[in-house]
Amino acid sequence: MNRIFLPLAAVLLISGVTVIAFSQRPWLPRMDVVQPIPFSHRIHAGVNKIPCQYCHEYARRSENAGIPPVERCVGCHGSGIVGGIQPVTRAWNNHAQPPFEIRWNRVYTLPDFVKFWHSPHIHAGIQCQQCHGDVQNMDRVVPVKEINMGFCVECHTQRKASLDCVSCHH
Amino acid sequence: MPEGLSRRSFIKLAAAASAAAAVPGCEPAARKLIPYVVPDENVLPGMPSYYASTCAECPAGCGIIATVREGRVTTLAGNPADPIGAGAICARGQAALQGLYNPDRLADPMLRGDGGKLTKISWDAAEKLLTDHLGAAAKAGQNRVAFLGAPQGPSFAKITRAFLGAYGSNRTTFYEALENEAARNAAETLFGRRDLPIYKIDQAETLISFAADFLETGSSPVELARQYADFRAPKTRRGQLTIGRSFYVGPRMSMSAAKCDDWIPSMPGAEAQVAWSVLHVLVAQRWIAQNSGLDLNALTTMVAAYDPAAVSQRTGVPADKINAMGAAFGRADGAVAMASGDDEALHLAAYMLNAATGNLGRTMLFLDGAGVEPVTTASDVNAAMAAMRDGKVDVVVINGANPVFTMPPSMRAAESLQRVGFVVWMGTVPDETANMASLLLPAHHPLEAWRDTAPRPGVRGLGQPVMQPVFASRAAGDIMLAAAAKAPQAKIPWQSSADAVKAEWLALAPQGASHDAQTEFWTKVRREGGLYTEAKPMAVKLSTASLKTPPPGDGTSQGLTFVAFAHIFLYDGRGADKPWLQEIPEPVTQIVWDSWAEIHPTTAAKLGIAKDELIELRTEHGAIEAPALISANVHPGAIVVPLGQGHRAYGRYASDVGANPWKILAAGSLRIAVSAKGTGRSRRLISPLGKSDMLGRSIVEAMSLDELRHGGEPEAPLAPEPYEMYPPFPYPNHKWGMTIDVNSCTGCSACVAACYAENNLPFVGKELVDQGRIMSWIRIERFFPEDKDNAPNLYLAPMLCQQCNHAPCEPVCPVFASYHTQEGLNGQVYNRCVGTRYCENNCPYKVRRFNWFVPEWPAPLNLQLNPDVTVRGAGVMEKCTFCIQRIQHAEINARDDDRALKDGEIVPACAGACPARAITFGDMNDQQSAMMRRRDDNNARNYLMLEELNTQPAIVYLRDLYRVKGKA
Amino acid sequence: MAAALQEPTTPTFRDIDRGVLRVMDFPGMAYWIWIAFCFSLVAIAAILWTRQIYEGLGVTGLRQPVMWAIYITNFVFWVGIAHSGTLISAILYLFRTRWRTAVYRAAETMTLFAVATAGLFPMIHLGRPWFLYWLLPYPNERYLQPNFRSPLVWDAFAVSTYLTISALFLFMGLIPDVANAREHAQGWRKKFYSILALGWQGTDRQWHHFAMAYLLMAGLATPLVISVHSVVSWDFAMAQLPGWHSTIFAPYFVAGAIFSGVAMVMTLLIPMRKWLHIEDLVTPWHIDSLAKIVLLTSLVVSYSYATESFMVWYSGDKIEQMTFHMRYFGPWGWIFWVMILCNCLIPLVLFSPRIRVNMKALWIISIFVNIGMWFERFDIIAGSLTTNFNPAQWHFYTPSITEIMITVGSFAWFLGLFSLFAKFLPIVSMTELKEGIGFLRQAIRKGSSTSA
Repeated sequence: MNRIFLPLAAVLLISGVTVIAFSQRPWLPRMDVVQPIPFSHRIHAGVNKIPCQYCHEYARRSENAGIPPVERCVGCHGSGIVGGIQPVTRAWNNHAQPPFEIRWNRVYTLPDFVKFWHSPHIHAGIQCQQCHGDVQNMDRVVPVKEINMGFCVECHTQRKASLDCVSCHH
Repeated sequence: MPEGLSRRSFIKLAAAASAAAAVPGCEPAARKLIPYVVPDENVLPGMPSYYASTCAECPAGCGIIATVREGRVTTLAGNPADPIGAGAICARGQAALQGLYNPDRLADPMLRGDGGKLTKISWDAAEKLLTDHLGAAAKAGQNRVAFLGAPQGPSFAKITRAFLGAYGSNRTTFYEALENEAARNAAETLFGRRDLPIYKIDQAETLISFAADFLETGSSPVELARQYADFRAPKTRRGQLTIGRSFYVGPRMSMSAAKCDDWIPSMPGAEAQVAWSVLHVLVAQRWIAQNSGLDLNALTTMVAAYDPAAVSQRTGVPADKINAMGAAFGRADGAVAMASGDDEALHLAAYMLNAATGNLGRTMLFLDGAGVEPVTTASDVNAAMAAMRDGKVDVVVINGANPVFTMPPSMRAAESLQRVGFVVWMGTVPDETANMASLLLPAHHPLEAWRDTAPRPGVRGLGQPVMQPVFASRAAGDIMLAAAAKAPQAKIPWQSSADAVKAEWLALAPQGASHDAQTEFWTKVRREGGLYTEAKPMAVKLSTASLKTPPPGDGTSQGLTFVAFAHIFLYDGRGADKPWLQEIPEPVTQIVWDSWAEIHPTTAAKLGIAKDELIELRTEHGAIEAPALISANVHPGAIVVPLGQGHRAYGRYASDVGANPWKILAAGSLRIAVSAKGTGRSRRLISPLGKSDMLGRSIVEAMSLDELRHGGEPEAPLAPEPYEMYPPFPYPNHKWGMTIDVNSCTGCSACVAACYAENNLPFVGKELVDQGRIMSWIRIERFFPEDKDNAPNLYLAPMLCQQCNHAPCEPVCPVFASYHTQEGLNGQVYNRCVGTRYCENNCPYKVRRFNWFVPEWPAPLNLQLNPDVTVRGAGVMEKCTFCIQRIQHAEINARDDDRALKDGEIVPACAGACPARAITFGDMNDQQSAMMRRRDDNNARNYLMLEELNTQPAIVYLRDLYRVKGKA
Repeated sequence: MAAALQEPTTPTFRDIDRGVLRVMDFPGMAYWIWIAFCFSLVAIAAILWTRQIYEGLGVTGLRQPVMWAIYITNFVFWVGIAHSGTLISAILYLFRTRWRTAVYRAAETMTLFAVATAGLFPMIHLGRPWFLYWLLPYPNERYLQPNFRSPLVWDAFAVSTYLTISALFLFMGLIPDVANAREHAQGWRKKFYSILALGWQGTDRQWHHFAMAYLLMAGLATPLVISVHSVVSWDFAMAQLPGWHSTIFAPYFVAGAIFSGVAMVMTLLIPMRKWLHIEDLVTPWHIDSLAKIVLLTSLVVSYSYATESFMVWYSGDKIEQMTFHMRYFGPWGWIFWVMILCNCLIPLVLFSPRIRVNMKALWIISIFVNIGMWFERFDIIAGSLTTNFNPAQWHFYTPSITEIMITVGSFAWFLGLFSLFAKFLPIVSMTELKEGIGFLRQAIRKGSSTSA
């Protein structure tokens, strides 16, 4: 008896583990992401009430929300109104990376076979917080929701949005 | 902030994004996010940007629009503003991408040390070396520096001349291997000008092609394919529904021949006789137009020797065929004759036919303001080579041409180059010529460089770079200008080729335009990809003074003649380094990754040659070997081999594939007497095609003109309710469908190439094609007719997923990976597929493809991958979904600016590429969509593939049209 | 004459026990070499499969348009083999057929291992085997369920059910015998048998319940004999491919399954009764009865072939007719004719009673039947896929070494497991032999009078 089921079980187990190890991990929420500069969303979005799309300006027009160009930071900080330039330039004193370039670490990642677009969600009036959590209260952004298919499907079902597989998988 | 930085981060983003796109489904995306320092307002990350440019893959010079994603060009499409391509583009044009991203491109300057070993050197060292040699050569005397290369547009010509001038030389040789010089000479004889005429097939009612493959490799295949589709479209003439009448006279049934009503096999070289004989018929029947200004008596004497009976007796071409051609041509309201080849008498005859029937200026016209001939004449090329051999040249700079490969032995290219002290090669993938060079410089691919074209009066194409260079290469023009600037008595007006091109174009701006107007003009032409004006046809006067007719003996030899022809994809061999072009089956023979010797069964029997046996073809110039393709589609007196293969260098995809016909040809001609014998050894010709016999199944359908006139049998509507076991699909919004006109389709396979580019289809190579692992989602299905007289010469039609309403593939999938979308597509969810392959088993059309291995794109080919399409991993089934990614984007964009989708807003890659506009895509719910209207307008020709299976395809084909042989 | 009148008194219960338990003595060298041989072949197959998973299905000979070939053939073949077991043990039990007593244990064992082998192949042939569990309905965050319209999902249910039932049935029947064996065994075997015996004491209550439960199990197992292979046949019949799309498939496949299954029982029993010296427990009379079933099912199968071909001709469906023309006279025609020879012609000799008790002849015939049935499945699967609707996609398939070695491995795997069972568990049911001892005694007499 065992002689049959143990190998089968083993095969299933091994393949299962491999799948989990190699396919799922990479886009599980990563709580450990530390950014190159101590940028605080709480201060910007929370205290100073800067709207998300002031910096993430592509969200309403494009697939990805976009990371604000350094020019945008300097727009306020450089003008001497707030904070001064130091918070922005701090990263550039770090010689590990090229000057005038902030290499942010991804917090949210989706696999290649999921084609997510920000713009339609913005146009549908979804609040950023709905997926990204209350970023305005976070100093360091960490994912609060696990962005998996169930998460998408639930919301799409409630809002009668498309449930066609190919809308996201093509 | 310095602008360079933003570009750097830009490229970084590009690298990251491409890395993300390149890896198979289960890999994590890029980990870093690097924002611009200063945002580029023209680029919206995540959204494609488009650049208009000009195709440099052949002299036709079609306008193209490049789709650029995060700094990488991913696909090329035709530029609608350009009158030549008019929004379409051929397979060769699309494959330019694989030239750009070719993994075998030269990455750094290389110096050939003693022993022929190449050593990497820096650009500075290379430039110094170059200028030193040039300087020395200039000191040694006049004209000791030479340029040898392909014509690359007016600006480039100027740069070259300036460069040579700086070093006291004027040895510019612009060399095109397949230049049609005989046609120019003939034009000079008759009309006193050396530019090639423009053809307007769509203005004609009858067409005769004398061995001119105008649909594949003629002067402008995309344009002529479009015109031919129009020419063949059903029209009412003299109160009767009819289509253009076309003949093809030549030794081989090419794709063009197959699409003509009659393919009239003729001995190679006998075409001229036949052509003059057709003229004889016109004269005899007094079908000479008054306005032709030709003296009937003079003509009569001129064509006396070509009475159809006599010609038929000499050449074996049936006299009634010749008379039929004459009648169709003479009676036609608008006719056009085209010729190709090295036989001047043939071109003269073709011109005369057009002129005599008053079609000069109507179907064949010379445009006003033709520029200087871009190409050096054969005699001058020979002189240039001779000069090298005689040691008159110290430095030769080669760019864009591969003389060692494309020059017949008698031109002694290799020997000539050996005699030159210092050979500088500038290019992308090192080829046979590069192997002779002492200094190899990586040059920009045309898509990376500034350039322009002037294919014809009224059309100026601007070639602007569509992306940052992939390698550390430099524009050939820049290299020459840099060298020129260092010359002692140099006075070069431009800093770079970009300057040169801009200067050239600002000169085209309206006279006396202000600076602002000029800037505006410059922006405009860059946006539109060129300057397109209407060039007036020019009245040319015909002089038959120095007209010479062919000696009646021509083409009547009884021996075997070897004929080489330009391969539809590989052309003169420049396509061979691009895996797409190697892997897309040649439409007529369906052969991939090899060259073949097409031979008639009787000849094969006579020579005792078996299928796939290697034939040794020997002429006075040498010998080559190619596997025998025994087929009735070639004249018994000819053995036909395509050009383009037989490289011994030119990258991993081209080298050591097939044989190079130029090795046994004489200079300036593509045919020669040959002795052939079997070698006993054999090499199997590889084709993804199974049987060529349709076995009477309704896959590609055709109908005769009579049937069309009697209305054919109109297509029955889709199966009514009683057939439905499950409730029918609602399709609340859209139901996507296609209409494909088989009558327009020429088989050129532009759609196939477009699909490869758009949908990240991997190429698999010869062995795997043989093992049935080719990955194309769309292919040209080719069948031979069973009843030759009552059918088209070939059945050719694009076969792709039919997006059935009753899809056999859907219910059998255990995991819903294959399922019916809400818009009527047979969706395939790659990440859900477990790979049971049941769907493909149950697909009657066999259009699904399985990933047998993990697909591979040797870097940097992976940069071409389209980020909107998942890259499939091993063990997954994949298929055509009418470019679902384009549909999704269009719908999202429409929703984002709260409007309904417009008809024609979505264009799948195949439909966009089709030069003949055979494919129309649209919404079946919208009766007014162009696609549905096309169905209704051609109701009599509608048919569904394998309709009896009641799969209810979303693709309606329009039957091919043919004339019953032997009927006018 | 006189001998004929008086009741034979041998063998006695003791003889039966001794006969069966002697088989379970500690095995000799030859046995272990055989086992080692089998499982080294299995190891080779396993290595090749690992490579296939790693590199992709490209290592097989599969291609456009032949997406299924040897793997699925093996699947159908082994599921078919599995059938006779349940037929003999369950259905014949309900019919109270006497001769089954000696052979049903072996048949059931064969069933279990055959299903186990068959169950491997859907996994082996999958493009992404690690997602096999997606074919089963289970709660998941994606709200995704399998497609219950797909015959492959039906398969998953049918085969797993069949595996469970046949396993339970076998081990239940074993209980009294392992208990018996427990009494005579020492060392680890004693422990092993005591576990399997589930504390069987042989009390009247236990016997009473056992009989009832066994009857119920038999009733439960019976419909499976029909259902499983019908479902398997629908993998093909539900597709519209010419050569697959046929309503006759279900009965035709079931008959074929019993045919090949019983043949396989003979292939296994005949050498076994010799090597294990149980000739006087499994007598020519038993084998003869098996031979009769083979003959019957062979006739049914032949009839099915005839009907299938007739319908193709009668339907007037050109495409279907072309497919069958290819099947008979195409490049692969020889496979079809081999199949006809093995499945329809050779078994006809079983009409002769003398052949039916000639062990050598029977054994050779049964081998032929197995070959024939394997080819039948291969011809239906690969052949039909080759001659599909679109002639432009007609291509022939040639198996790769990977496929061949995995097939060989599957046979080794099956035989290895069976051999282990035969040596370590009672391969002949003592209990039931004792129940029907009178018939056994007569059988031996018949056997000795008829068999040479």
